[in-house]
Amino acid sequence: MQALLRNLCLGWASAVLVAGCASDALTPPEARIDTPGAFVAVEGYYEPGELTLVRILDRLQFEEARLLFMTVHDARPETYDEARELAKDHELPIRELIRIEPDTVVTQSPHRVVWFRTLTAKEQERVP
Amino acid sequence: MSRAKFFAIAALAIASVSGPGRAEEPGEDRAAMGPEVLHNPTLERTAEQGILRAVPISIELPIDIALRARRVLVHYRLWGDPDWTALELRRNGAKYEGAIPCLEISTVTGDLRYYIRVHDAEGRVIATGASRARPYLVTIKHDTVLEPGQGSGAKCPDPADCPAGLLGCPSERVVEIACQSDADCEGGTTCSWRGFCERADRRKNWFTLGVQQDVGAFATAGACSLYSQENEGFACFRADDAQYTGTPVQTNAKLSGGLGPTRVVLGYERLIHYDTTLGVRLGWAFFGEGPTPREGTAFVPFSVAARATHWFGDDLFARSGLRPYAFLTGGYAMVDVKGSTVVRENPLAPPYQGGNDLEQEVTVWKRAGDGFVGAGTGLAFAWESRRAAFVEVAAHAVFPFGAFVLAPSAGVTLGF
Repeated sequence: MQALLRNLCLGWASAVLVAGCASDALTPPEARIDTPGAFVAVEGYYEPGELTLVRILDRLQFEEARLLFMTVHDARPETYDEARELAKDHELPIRELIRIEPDTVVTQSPHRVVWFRTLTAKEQERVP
Repeated sequence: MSRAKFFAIAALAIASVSGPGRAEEPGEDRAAMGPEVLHNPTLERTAEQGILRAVPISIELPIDIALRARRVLVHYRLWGDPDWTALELRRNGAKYEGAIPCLEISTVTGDLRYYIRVHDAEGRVIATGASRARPYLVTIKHDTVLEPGQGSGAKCPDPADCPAGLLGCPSERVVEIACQSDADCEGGTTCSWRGFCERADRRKNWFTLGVQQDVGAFATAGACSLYSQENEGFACFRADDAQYTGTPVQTNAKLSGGLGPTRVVLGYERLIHYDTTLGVRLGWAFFGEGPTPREGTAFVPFSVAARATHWFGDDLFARSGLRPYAFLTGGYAMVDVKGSTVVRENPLAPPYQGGNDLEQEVTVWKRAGDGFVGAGTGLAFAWESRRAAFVEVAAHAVFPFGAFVLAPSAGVTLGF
């Protein structure tokens, strides 16, 4: 019944050319620095003042620490917006396929989650 | 008294005699058996008449027929005249009287043929005297060849001095002959919906061949969720042509849409009134079928629709020219409509599919249907009364898998 009502709603809504029956979304969920698939731009990872784009592959949570499994990309964006645009490229060059670091490497530096893409099976296999 | 008048009265006298025998039959049975025949010996079907003299006709009906009769029509044809003409006899007490006008008799000699048909209140023919195939004959002769005394009587008076309806003067010409079915009409005429015989090249059966292009719009909110794709006729495909099976965030997505199937349409419509047709249209989608996801419902290219059409104009089917119309329709059709939307992935949900960006534009196919109702309008141009080309557009509300579909079409239609 719910499905039927929804379909009718969609049909009649479209018939009168109004936009959908979906409610406005609340603030959409955002990826965090430990979300597998997240692209994080970290400042000063290699060189002070430079942004480095890393991809979170997995995390390992301990009682008082957390390890991040990351792929480090070979990209040097100058701004977070540029990092976001670079992250959308599915063929972005890789500098280090897998790197395991405590999350403090990211959290103790200026950083921003700039993009997200679900991991493919091949990308998940990078995690030992 | 001319021989023609003598004959007519003699005929009705025989009719009167013959009537009571059949009056015992139940009326329903008689109606089922067809019109009563006013019997008349063949030998009495001839008379002679001088030129320029009206042919008076008088008939007295059997009582059972007289009770039901509303109009008595005389159909006559002059010598050399290819057409039959009708005139209505006037009731005068128990008789019906009239005359074939003397001006029509004129000076042309030869056989005048006529027969009589009696109609009831509904236009049904309930009795006949003679027939078109075997009519009464009145031979019009010049006065010089008539027997002494036969040519007597008033010749055609000045029409201005001879008012219609008077004996010997023109009867009122019948413009419309009442009828109930085509069987009541003769001479290539048919029974119109107004209840009168008419001669019109109006075709009642129309066959249509056309092409229809569907254009659809649908709401894309939630279209790419697994539930929608499994249960609501949606199928979403990424840029790499893989079907999207991720976990989208519900957003207030816009309408989307585009071209739907292209169909060849075969139709039949029946003219049920001057301005109304009822019909059915069968379609076959030969282009525009969308992809069917695994375990999804296969596309059915066949479609069928009923329609009722109102034609704007006065008896448009009897002539050529423009024929504007509007119609209501409903039926069965699957409509695959291609659109697009932006899907936002939920990063916090367990990923079911790799490679889904936080936001990505996907192609959305909506398999809408299977029922629809709608309305439309169109314009046909008939270069002959029985041949026309048309363009039209219909708006369909498709359900239960909803979409809004515009269905423009064009084609030709032939009347039979």
